[in-house]
Amino acid sequence: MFQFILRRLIQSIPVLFGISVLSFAMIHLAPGSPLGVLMDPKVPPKVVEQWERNFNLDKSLPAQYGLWLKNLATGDLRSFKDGRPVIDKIMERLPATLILNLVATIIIFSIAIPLGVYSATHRYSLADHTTTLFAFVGISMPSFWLAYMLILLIVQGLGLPILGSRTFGLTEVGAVAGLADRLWHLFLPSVILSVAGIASLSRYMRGSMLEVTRQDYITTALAKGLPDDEVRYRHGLRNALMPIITIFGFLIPTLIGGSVIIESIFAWPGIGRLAYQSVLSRDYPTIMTINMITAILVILGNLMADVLYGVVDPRVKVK
Amino acid sequence: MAIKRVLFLLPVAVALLFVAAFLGALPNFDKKVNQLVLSSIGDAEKLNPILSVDSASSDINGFIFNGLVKFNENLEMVADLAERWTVRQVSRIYLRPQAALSAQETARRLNAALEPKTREDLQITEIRPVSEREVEVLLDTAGTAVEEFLVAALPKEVFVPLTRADLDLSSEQKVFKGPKELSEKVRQELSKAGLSVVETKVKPWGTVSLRTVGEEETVRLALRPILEAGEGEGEEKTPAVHLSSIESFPIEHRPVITFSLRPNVRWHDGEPFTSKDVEFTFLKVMDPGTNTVRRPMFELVDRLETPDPHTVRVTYWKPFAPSLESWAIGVIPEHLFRDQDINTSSLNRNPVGTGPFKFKVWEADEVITLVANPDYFEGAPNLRQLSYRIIPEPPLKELEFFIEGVDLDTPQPHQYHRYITDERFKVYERLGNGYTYIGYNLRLPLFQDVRVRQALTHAIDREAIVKFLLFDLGVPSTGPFPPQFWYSPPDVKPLPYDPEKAGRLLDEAGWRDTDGDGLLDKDGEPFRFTLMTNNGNNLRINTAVLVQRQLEEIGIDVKIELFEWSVFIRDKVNPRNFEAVVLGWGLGLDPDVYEIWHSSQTEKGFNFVGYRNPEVDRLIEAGRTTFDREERTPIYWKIHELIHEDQPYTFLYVGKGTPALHEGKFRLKRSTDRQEVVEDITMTENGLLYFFKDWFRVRGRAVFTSS
Amino acid sequence: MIAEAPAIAAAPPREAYRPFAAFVYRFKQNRLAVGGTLVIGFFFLLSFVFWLFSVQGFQWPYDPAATEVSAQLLPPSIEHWLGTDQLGRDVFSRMMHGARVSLMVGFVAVGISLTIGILVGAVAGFFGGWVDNLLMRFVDVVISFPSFFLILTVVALLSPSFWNVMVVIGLTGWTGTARFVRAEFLSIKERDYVQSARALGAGHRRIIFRHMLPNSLAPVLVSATLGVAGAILTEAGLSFLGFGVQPPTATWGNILTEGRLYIFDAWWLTVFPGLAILTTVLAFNLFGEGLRDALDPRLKG
Repeated sequence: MFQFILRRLIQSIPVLFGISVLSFAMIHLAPGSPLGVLMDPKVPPKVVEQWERNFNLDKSLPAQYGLWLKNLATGDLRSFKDGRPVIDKIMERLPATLILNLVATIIIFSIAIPLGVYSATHRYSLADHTTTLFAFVGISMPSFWLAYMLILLIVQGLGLPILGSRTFGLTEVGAVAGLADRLWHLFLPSVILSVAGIASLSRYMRGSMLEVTRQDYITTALAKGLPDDEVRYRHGLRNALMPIITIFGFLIPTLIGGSVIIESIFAWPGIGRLAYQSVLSRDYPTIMTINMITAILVILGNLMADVLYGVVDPRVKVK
Repeated sequence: MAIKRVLFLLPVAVALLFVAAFLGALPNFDKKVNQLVLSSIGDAEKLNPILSVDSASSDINGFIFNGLVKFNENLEMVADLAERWTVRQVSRIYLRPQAALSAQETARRLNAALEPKTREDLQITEIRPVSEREVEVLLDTAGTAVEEFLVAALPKEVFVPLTRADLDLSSEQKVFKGPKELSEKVRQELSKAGLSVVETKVKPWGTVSLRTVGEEETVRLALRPILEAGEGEGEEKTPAVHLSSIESFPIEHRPVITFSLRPNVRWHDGEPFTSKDVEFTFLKVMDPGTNTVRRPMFELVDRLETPDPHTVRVTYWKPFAPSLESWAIGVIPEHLFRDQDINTSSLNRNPVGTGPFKFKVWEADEVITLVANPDYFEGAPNLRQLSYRIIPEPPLKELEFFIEGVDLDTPQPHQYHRYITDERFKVYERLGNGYTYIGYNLRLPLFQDVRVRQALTHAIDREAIVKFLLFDLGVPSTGPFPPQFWYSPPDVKPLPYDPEKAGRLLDEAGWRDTDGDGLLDKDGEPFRFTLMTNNGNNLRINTAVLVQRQLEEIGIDVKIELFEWSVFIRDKVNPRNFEAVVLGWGLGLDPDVYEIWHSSQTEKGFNFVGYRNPEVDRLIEAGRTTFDREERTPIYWKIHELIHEDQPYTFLYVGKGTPALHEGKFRLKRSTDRQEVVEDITMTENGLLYFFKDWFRVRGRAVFTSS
Repeated sequence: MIAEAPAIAAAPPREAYRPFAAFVYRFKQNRLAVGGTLVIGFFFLLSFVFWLFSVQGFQWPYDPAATEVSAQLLPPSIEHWLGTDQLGRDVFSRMMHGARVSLMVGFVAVGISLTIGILVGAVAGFFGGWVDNLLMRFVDVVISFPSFFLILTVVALLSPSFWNVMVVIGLTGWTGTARFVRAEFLSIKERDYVQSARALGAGHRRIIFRHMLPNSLAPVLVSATLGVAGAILTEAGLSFLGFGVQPPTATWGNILTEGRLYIFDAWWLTVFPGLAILTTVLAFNLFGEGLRDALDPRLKG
């Protein structure tokens, strides 16, 4: 197992290198420039040229790539926008993104699994058809549209604060109320973020559960006269959950990618917004670093999925 | 079956948790402290007044930092960190080497010619010789008005034209190693020609500026070898060095601004504020390694001296009207920045200033919190705290304002009617300092005929744009200055919407529909162009679409293309790779428009449409060297009129800003002579927040609920 | 009760086994999928009819580009079925014309990603060895590459026509296809009929295109259908971020994106385009799911 992980990690080094070269080239070849945003009659072109020299943008692309590697190695990668270390900028937004995605993941798993199981055990019932339809509706909606619909229908009527991670100006309430307030602010973004996940995961769960119930050992157990629920939930569910666990590995990067829009709408101070703003302002060091972190997350997610698969299903030899 | 129960209780538990959170938070939503919550679409970048480029940073810097001067509620210049200031001037006369009169004799004659009335009018305090060949005239105001007197009072052969040449070293210079070598070479060439250099100065970005005593033509001839040396070989014909301008200065004027600083001002950390901080701020702005856009405002500063801790004396190369305004720049603390790299300093995120509010905490992309500075030199603010929230989605900002999550909001025009009709809100309005326009690329044959440009303006219904896109929150504009300012002429009428007249003008210019396809054509080419703008600005996009339809009606085919901002500027506007654009200018308070309209700015500057009018050039140059408002007014009126006649832009509209507050939530409290006066908040010419220090949040105000 | 016989398992009519008839039979059993097919057909018909209209210069009910500012932001009524937008354009007309663009974005994008995916997957699976290794590492790089940046760069590199949005969505979506075409090829490669074709001296190209590809087409078809749904959603998301098809060309995505700014003034600008996207994407998803079940009953979820 350890050897397997080690080998996979070593294998991913050239992949990461490829990604860094590719994204570096793309970002720099893309039109626009970090200084393209300056359109102010009081800023003459000479100033822009001086800034370009200060940012080493006048050097050749390979030289700039070399500088990027050097700065990465020495940990001195700084944002063009505010001169701060890129890592600091990312670290201060990471907790917000993580908590949002954690809550979304909890919602996804705690709703999708029961839903899938129920669908599978009551196959072709009205409930099953309804769930199926709803699942498909869930993955067929633009998330920002759903967000606006919910805001239009629910929030506007309630007249409650929903933006940001907490209500502002609330400084003199107790810890419990403060916590409740934060949880309330998590509600809409995490629910909207999890809709597509619930939809697809419940379909997976249903399929997996059906697959398991066709297995011989279930038939045998039922034939032996064990109660239905006992067979389904003790033996069936456990085996049906195995492939689902592996999905966990893929979920995290997907959620982080999908949260750009949700974070913008709900003024949530996370990584997605940082990435979007950095792209718009061509903040090359920040874009590069977020790119690399996302890539590493994807690779780790894949690895985790493979490892988990080996753990839950001993028949799969990890090689 | 335990597993089954747990499984199906899970979603219920999650749902219950959120319900509990909602119920737990509900009773507390109304408990707010004595503070004001502002909001912005984007987060601030750098809380450092010399580095910031975004509006969020500027807004917040305004609360934390002070400049030496500021604009008051009526947009007049008043003292801030400086208690008072004086503008004086030293005018220097250089005598011809072979002149019969000595410097002493010249000074004596001038003094004799000076009648008391002239002396008073021109505010001349002293005329004295300073060397064998130089005479100085000291004045109490800055300006070039004294010139007429000097020229009239002395025979012409006494002084000589003083010629200034700016030699621009482009970054890819091949002939000279640098400015030092260039200026040395220039000295040699000039002395060969028998000319002497009065002074040379190497300015940032490799520009060498030199003054020499001699006729312009002689200087040009003498410098020819250097100018030609710059010509590249073969295809690269770009000169490495070129003579960018030669101006004749019979007399050289050096304005001197002396600021007397307030004593007893302290930084937020308790250290005293002194003239050293001002000097430090200036040096940092001028340092080429500093990533600042403020440098051009200070380029004409010759030197800055600090004779004592509370005096700052700034000498300029030549009269430059916007120079005083540039000292509204926030001053940064020397004692903290001294050993830091200003571009990357952590102080840019943790600012220390002298202003009414102190920085408290910055939660990235969420909120920036400031607290009152009890030791502020004009007295502590009434509010305890100020929060600046970041809300990226415009419609949700409205929602947040309605539920009092934000205390001040500026609605977009289409949102305005909901604010103004709602009795819970009080909406203010004020015309903005900017305008939106369509700029035509005048390098293209299509737009070179002024009749064509006038026709385009006649064909565009600006009244309709203002009425339906701005919902009447704005006025059509007529030229480069918004109508509310003193430098905007009162009697220029916008070209009326008149498609028939547009048709006639185009007909005169040779554009008519000869092939019956509904499009105007000339020499077989249909009248067709691409109108570009940036995506993300809905007002501009909608304007472009309306213009497209209106021009279609008179037979002009317009194609609309949208680009992301950075791409638009970098790849379309800067390389002049466009036909027509919809854009807007936000302006400062000084009317100087050199960067936008002077013909020297067409290649690389912001005169990207390529407008050239020698008369306008002359007026712009005159305007920026004149300090007196009365003298400047006709100059700028004329500029406005000339540009209006030429129509290099179709000037579309000046929009109104409409900040809104909750009715009765905030009021003003001023303490004067042991007496407290409470007033309603009113709009000032300098915006709603000008008297912000005196605002307070009204307690026990009747709460309106949405239900 | 586990062996509860699903209708689908019932044997097709007893005549000679005809795979296509069997497929149609199985597909028809799935009512949701049939519904999806009908909806797709309906939208196709609509966009075709409106395309014909516009080619003929006949604008009905209104010219989608005609602004009439005095009639701005009108709610749905008899004259304007889905209301008007901020410039007084008829939302119904705009959406009908937008339908064509949105569907085209979906199909062209999927066409591009399928072509790349099949080529890469087929080559990797067929040749194996270092070719496979190299191509799959490249696939890894593209998969791990945040597609947002890829999209941004290509959108920005090419001029912002709607063809380029399609190209971009296509360029980011091919990796999945490549992976399973490769897997399919790896397994088919060892089967008898391929081995015998090879023994008979057939060339690489012939083996790939005549023998192997047709046999791995079923999952490709399914993923293509689901891909169309994904591409339409992606276009909407890109529009929201300002990188989609640029106005004034109407797509459902950018009508929705512009409309959301007026949500409290004119709900119809947000609700209707969103519903149109929802219905279409849903239809493609249901159709794809039905296709999967009918093509390969073993895969049925």
